[in-house]
Amino acid sequence: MIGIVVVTHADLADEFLQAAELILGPLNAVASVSINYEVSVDIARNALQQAVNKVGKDGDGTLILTDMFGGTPTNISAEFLQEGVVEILTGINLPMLIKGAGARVNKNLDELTALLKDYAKNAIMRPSELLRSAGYNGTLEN
Amino acid sequence: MALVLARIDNRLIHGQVLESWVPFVRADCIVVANDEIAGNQLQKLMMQASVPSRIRVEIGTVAEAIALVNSTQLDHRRVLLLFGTTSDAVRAYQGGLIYNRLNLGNLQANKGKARLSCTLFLDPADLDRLELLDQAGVKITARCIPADGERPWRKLIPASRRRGK
Repeated sequence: MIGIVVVTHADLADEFLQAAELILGPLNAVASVSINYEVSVDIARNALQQAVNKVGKDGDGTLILTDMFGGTPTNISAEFLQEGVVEILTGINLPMLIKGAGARVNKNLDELTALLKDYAKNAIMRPSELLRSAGYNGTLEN
Repeated sequence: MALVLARIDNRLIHGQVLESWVPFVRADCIVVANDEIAGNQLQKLMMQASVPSRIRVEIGTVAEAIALVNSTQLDHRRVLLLFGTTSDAVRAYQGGLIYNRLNLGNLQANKGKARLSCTLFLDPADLDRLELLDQAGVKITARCIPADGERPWRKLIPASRRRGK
């Protein structure tokens, strides 16, 4: 199974995982690496290496989900990029992680990454647009 | 129609239902029976929009849900039925929407209710309603998500609070 590693600033990664498990139950081959301000780049890189090794040990590849393009978690992750073996998606959201946990069983790493990139973007909604398309003016006045 | 899950969940359609229960019971239709949500246009629209388009979703009052489930409209559907409260569940049952099993998911409350599990807070009136359904032959169990173990509802009640026994 494709492994998933969530890497973020502060404790977001741990919390993303906790939120996903609250919805799906315990997840296999998923790890989190939370990079706090007191952690050196070397230690963070080490933790990420261990996480990638752990969730990717069966050879199906690893997808790293990071919080923000341009941030340290993404920059460190980029060192692990390897076609067909380690892929990265930035801008993690909960739909991305939940879909990834479920969709990875019958896809290869490239397919999964492509799917999640679109899925996570489309999962961003603006409720007032739903109202407008239902014939309201963007608000509800009872 | 196959009723694949009847559940009390005060959050109605939400992450646990969509991401865990729907695939677990292979539902292709979600019916919500709750008067309050039926009158809340924004919440209704948001819940409808959160459900993948291959799944039919019907959100209505308890009375509307009874009529719908007992019509031929949902023939061949695998229906996941959601109640918001124990009262919804009893009113539906007494109104002719018959289910044999009832899942207790989320019933959180702040005060005035006793916490019987991580996600279930019930007051004596809730217990009376569940008792009524139990007496009618409904098998009631607590299970928040499929990955959780299933527990008979009576096992949740501390001995001190059990009545008539």
